[in-house]
Amino acid sequence: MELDKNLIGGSTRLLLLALLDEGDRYGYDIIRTLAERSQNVFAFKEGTLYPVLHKLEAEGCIRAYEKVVDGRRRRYYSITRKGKEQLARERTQWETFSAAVTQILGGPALA
Amino acid sequence: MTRGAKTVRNFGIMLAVLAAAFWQSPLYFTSDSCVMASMESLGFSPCEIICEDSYAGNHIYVLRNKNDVYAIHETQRIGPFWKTAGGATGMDFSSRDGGPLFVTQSGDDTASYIVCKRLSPEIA
Amino acid sequence: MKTEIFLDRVVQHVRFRPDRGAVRRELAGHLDDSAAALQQAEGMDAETAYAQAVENMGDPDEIGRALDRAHSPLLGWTWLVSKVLCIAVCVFLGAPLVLGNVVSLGISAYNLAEYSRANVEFEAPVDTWIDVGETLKLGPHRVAIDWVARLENGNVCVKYHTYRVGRAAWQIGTPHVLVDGERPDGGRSNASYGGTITVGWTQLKGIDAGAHMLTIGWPNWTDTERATIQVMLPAQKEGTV
Repeated sequence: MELDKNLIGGSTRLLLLALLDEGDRYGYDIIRTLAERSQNVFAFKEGTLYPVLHKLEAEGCIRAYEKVVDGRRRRYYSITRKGKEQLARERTQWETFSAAVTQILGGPALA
Repeated sequence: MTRGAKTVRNFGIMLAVLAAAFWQSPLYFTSDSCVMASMESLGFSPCEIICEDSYAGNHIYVLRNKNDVYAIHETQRIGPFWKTAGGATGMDFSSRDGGPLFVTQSGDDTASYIVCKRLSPEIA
Repeated sequence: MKTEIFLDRVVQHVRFRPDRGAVRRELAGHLDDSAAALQQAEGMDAETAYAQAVENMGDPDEIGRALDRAHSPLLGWTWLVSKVLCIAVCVFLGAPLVLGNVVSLGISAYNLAEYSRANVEFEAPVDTWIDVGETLKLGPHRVAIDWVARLENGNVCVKYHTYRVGRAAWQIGTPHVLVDGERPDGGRSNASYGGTITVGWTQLKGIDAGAHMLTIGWPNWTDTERATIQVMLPAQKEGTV
């Protein structure tokens, strides 16, 4: 199912921060995990991930370092303290948002 | 550390080093503060500036301390800062011709400061 | 689209050039991983795998523009300039400053030890030692008169050390010594060894054997409570020439 790009756009940061909160990952790894865990609902254009990652890095929410694994040099990202705070904030926002949407869709019966 | 934070940190370090270098050096921001600091470090404080003048980019001061002893002092400009350029106290300082002081130093050093209403040292 | 062309297309949008290399490398790494996975999972050959991997990335111009927004050239150049300037200031100003101070402190420590009462050597044996150990506060200068030694040959040596508290435009120079309130007639010799702490001594020659009151310091210094120290020099011991 192809999701409207705009739906994803807003929550990409939340997803990235949440993933990195679990542990350090590199770009391709993140894409694959997102696709796997969402059962391919989130299988958007891979390249569009990197601008978001770099923006998060510039803001100080995540930190990058290079590591050589099996002869391959990759850029790993790890979440910072500021990133964790941002994650908590966006998570709360998302939960409020999705609860509101669910309520509205559910109609008076769920009120 | 984000790039922005690093930039601020770098400028901070630069400022700290420059401030330390300036403080250690015998440079001052203004000619007046240079003269007063020099006089204090020569044991002439507390004193007041009676008159000041400038020639060839340097400033010349005539000072008098609480014991009515006169002194002359010169400051030199280095870039935007000031440095001390020597002076003298005591000697044959006495008031003459209505000006604050008149001094001559004969012999081989014919440096004579004739001070009337305007300081104009002539150095031979 | 070939990978090289794709990467070039993306990276050309990044205005801050110094970052282009790192971005290119990261995307190239992604393509390598992606192509490798496709080859393994779907048995493609290298060329097809890479072509598919590039296709999966998305529109290079869109990616490039978005990346450019994350790599601000203003911040980039400001940071780079700050880095270069900071290194230059630290190397050419900071390092010599620190080194100079450390060396100066070392030299001062050495001098203090070398000319201390325990280590100092005179040309004639010492008749009387007087430990003084008092400090004068003269503007930004602090002068500590350490000891006075009277030698059997009639010389009197006064040792001192000075340091600054705060900025001082001038050095303090050698302390004057008056004998019984007057300038002594005999010769005088001085020496001082500069550094963070300047260590020095002044030696008066030909002081007669009697008892004298020495006034050490700067009698003409105004603006301080105490500019001189009085030291009582006892008469020379009997039995010496």
